[in-house]
Amino acid sequence: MKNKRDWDLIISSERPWLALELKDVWLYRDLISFFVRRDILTEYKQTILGVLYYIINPVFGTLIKVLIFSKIAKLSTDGIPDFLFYFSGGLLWTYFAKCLSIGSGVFLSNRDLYSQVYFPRLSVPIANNITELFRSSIQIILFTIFYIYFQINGSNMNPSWGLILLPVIFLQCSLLGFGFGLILSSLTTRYRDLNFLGGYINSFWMYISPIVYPLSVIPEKWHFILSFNPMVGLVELLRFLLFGQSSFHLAQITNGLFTTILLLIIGLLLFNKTEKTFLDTV
Amino acid sequence: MRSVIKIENLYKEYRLGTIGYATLREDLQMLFASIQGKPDPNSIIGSENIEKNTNRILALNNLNLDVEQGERLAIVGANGAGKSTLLKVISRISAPSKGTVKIKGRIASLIALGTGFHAELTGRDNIYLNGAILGLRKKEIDNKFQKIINFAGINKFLDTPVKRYSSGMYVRLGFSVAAHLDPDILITDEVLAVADLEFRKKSLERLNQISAEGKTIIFVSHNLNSVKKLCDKGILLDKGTILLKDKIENVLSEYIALNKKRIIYSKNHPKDNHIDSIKVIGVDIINHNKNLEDVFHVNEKIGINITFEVKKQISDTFTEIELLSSSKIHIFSSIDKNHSIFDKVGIMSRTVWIGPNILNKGLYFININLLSSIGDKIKRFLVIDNAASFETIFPNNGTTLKNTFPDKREGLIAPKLTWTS
Repeated sequence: MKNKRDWDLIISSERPWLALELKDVWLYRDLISFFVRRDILTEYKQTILGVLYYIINPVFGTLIKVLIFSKIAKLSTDGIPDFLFYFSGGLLWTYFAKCLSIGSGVFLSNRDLYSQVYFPRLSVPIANNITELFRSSIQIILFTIFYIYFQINGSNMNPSWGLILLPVIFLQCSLLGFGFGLILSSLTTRYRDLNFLGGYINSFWMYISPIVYPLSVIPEKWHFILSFNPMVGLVELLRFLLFGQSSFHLAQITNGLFTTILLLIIGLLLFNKTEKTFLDTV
Repeated sequence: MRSVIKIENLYKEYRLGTIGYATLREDLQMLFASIQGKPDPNSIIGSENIEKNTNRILALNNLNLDVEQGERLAIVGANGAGKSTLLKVISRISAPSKGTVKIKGRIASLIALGTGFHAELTGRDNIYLNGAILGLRKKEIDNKFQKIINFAGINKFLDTPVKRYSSGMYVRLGFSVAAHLDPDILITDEVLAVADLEFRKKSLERLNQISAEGKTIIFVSHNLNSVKKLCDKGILLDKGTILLKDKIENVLSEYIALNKKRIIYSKNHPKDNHIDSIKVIGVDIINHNKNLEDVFHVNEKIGINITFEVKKQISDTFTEIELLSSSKIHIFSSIDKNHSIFDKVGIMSRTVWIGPNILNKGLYFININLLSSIGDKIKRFLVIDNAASFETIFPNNGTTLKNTFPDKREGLIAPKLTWTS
């Protein structure tokens, strides 16, 4: 057997449990930036309003929530202006849901690309996540404008310096959505049923997260179980930092972090296992 | 020479029947059935309790190969012989089931052109995207950018979205990026199938140039004449193993021999010895200048030159060619009425010409049969499937944007007919 250094690449059926090829991903970092560029440039091609959709979508989405959950269902918003309450929750949830769908669609939606050429498979979902982050940051700017508007018009909100943690909140959101998405996608290559189940999982998860209601309306006895839903801690933390008011508790973060890391590791393991053979099964 | 690819005991196994259809429902049915002690309701009939391998197939079966630096290697084999699977494993698209592939140097595989092209993006953006997918850094693309657009000849349309490109321009752009990757090993498929003739020539020249720089090229094609023009060595694949690695001529004639089928008329009939008397040793597709050609314009005549080795003189034997479409539909046959051609021992050849303006654009296959008269009937006694193949395209300079008149007509053939009033 020849020395390993004689060869630049050895393709073998056996590979380590968690070979993520992060080094390769780094080598292909230009590709990631081209993917991001492509997705942003082409998203609203051939639409009349174009980039205005970056503004229209979240504003209309929030107004609908205000109408249904606040005006009609009369759910509490903990005294926070309802528009900002739903906007902030929606901001985080949208990002999470997008990361989830990126992860869960990674094999099926990139099948053609993956079947034609080798490149580190993770670079596509990583690029997609960056694109989503870009979209979310536009929403954050939009949110800030509304926030200042409400502040000037006399709403009593106490923003905290802790808001510098915002990137960390988004990072965890991304890892959580991505990790769970990878689990779904790895299973979907085998069981297409999960394509249909995915929608239910998504909406169920949203209703067990305090997006359209504050955690304070949930009876105390459920809080411990709900704290293992990372979205609970993240949304409550975000609202606490923004408005100085929420049912935030440190345990929500630690328990949520536990779930996030667990799902991420399982997701990456399954991805790694599925990646090399999915073209034979899809 | 140093070997740049070393394949050792390579296996690739596919499961039949379950591919793509393994839903949870079926798995649960199997689970319930096994609890009740019944056979799996979804299994292929007869597969239970036999060897596990009955519903599995080995696309690559203990394959060993050394490719040396600078080789121009063709992979030849019938459909299902494992050609594509081998390419996919070497280019890391699909993982092997067992065994190893060792590679020295940068490898680039061109299984499709313009991978990742986005219709809405301009030619410029797509060059960068495609280059990056193929493994180039942005800086490298910057350096090669001018060369790429010059080669493709699309300078004018650089900032036009590729959705407005003609198919020819699209292919030219895709190939240009790929041709400037500077890999140490280039693996390529039938990627030039849609390009125009002039660009194909240019591309083959480019491949020859790459090869002259000491790079290794691995080429897979159904078009045996393309293979003959580009490669100096070949391997013959059959059922996932390599039957032969040799000079390309020998590999191709062995491939023809592999496709040979003997049809026995009746036991001990004297004419059945004919098969041993005549051997088809080569089939060339030639143009009007009698040069080897792989792609023709539909308005050119196409020659099929068959070389025989006559070991024992025989009479009453005729040669027949069958022309088949790429989907293996029989289009027409032609029989050589000259029955005295095999009455001399030695090497001889016959050429049959397909006239211009008969065929449509496409890939065509040639079957060769040898016939003999038995009593008052004519019977085939030797059939060679897929003895040769060639491609036809419509003449189109391809320098313009998508034209409104389609350069493709429906139908197996596209003869030039006259319209009168």
